[in-house]
Amino acid sequence: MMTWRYRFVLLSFVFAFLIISLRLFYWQGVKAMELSARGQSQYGQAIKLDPVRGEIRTSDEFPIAANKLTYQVFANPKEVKNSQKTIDLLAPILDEEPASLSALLSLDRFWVALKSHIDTDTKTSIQKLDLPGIGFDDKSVRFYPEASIGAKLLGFVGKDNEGNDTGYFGLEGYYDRQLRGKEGIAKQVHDALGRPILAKVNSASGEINGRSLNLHINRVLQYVLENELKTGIEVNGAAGAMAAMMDPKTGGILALASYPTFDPRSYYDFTDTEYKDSFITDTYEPGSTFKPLVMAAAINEGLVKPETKCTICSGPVSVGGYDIETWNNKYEPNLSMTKVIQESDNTGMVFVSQKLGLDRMIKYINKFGFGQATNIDLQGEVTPNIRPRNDWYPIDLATSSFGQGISVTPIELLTAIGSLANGGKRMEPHVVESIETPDGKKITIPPKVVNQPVSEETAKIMTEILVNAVNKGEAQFARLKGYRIAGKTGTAQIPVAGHYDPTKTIASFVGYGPAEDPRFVMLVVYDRPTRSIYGAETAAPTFFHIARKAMEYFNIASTEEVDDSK
Amino acid sequence: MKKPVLFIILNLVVIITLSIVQVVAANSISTTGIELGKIQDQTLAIQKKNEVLKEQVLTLSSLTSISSRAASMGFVEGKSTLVISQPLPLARR
Repeated sequence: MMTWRYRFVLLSFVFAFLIISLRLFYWQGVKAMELSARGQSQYGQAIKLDPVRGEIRTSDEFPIAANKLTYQVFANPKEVKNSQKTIDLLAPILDEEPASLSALLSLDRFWVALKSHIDTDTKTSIQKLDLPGIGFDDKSVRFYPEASIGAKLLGFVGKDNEGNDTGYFGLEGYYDRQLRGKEGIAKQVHDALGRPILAKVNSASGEINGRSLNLHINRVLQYVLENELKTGIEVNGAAGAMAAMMDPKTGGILALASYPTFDPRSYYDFTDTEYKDSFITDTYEPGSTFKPLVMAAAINEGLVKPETKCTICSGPVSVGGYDIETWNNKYEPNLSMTKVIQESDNTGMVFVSQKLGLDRMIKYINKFGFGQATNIDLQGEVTPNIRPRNDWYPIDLATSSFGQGISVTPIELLTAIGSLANGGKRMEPHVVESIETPDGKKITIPPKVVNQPVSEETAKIMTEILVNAVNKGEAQFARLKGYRIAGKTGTAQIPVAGHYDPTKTIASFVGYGPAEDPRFVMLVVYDRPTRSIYGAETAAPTFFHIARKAMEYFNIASTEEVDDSK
Repeated sequence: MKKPVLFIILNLVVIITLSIVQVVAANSISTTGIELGKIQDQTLAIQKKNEVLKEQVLTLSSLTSISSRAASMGFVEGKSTLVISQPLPLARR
């Protein structure tokens, strides 16, 4: 029989165990997180890792937007021993006024920034001075080895409301989330003196640095295109210019530029107007560069053939109370469809539009992708609306057949013409070929066929018509001899306050080559050229200058004998 | 009675051996923190140097830089290209 003392001891033990169990539960359950964090802070250290922004590389893997180290010089005024000597030594190196440095060093603070974004050489020369109280913080910033080449394509890296690096416009804007990476935490175990020790918990969390972009952009072609466009603006006295070159088979953008432009290194000195890439954000009336698409639609529907005669081309055509004339007011009866494109004859196109009819015209405008986003991977693409069917008047059908009264973006026109160069298949335009993770894994963006507006046969016929237009049309003086290039000039008047200003035009040239196996489709546009208002005399020469260099670059031999004596 | 004594002695030997091993091991890795710190500093310095060198390489190999240097050295752009697309005859007429 248990004595009362035995029971007391037993109960005491049970009670003690209960108390200990409760306390252990409190530590290991309720306070577990807090104690774990406190423990980690005693033996380890969490280091904030700033992500390095991903690079943007051209097709030859050259980074046209890379990163470089810059430094911020700071001072602890309380540790600066000889202020005057420090100011005298630093002012010339930092290119700062001694008075402003003196003001900063006289502040009652432990940390003042003296200058940001200094380069490594400047930092080294300051370090050699061994000045007490002067230190450096490093920071990775965007670096553009090719200066402002591809600026509109790239966009720029600025700051958001919280002061974080953020991409704006172009690729930096569109792919900001991929490029920026994610702030990471690295845990490091250290000893009592703060020295790191080998331990399993030394690790960084996940993928920190940003992903890089590998572009379809060809650095050589981009350089050539930009230089030719810059020269062209000066020669033609244009208010602006834009051009792009695309691989019609993949939709890969090989080069793209527009002017006026900006310098991404000093983006803050420019305005929104200069940031926007007018090739995807501006709309314009394409003029005669639209004619091949309307003609292709009529051929595809079996309504006309290259040899079909125009029965209304002997003089101005009256539609809905308006007289439609040719650009040079010259008329040729029974013009064939091949010659309608060659002569860029507006009355001939009215003939085609009448054959086509409104429903089929709207159907093909949609099939060629007008009024829909092309989904190019650049920030800011604009999609002009095509007017609803009920708002079309007979004059609209007639004028749209020669590219007036209809608004498009240059990228829309480029991809539409690209379909003629690609056996009738319209490709989705893409600047980025693949996205590369920091550990080198490539995520390829495959080419995408959007639709097939016209048959392969129609595309071939249209190509021959366009080759003829280049060889015998108004821009034949500028053509690239020895090669079969398909192309069409465009001179569109600009609508101003309800009427067209005959002195202000958008002059353009669109084409592709070599015609038998196109490697590129290209559109060159000049905004209000003053030397000549015609696309044949402004955009066409630029187109062929670029095309010649592209043929050389692609190592494409000429297919026709060149006789320089002619 | 002999068995427990042997067991205790064995235990003591194991404990002493393990203690010695721990002391030796702790002694041998006690300086790794300093070495690790140095290696980390070196890695950081090399990384920074690499970034500076990469910047120089990219600047010097940019088309902008190459074309301006070529121009200053007197190179001019070729105006015509000779394309040999078929064998030329040895002699004409």
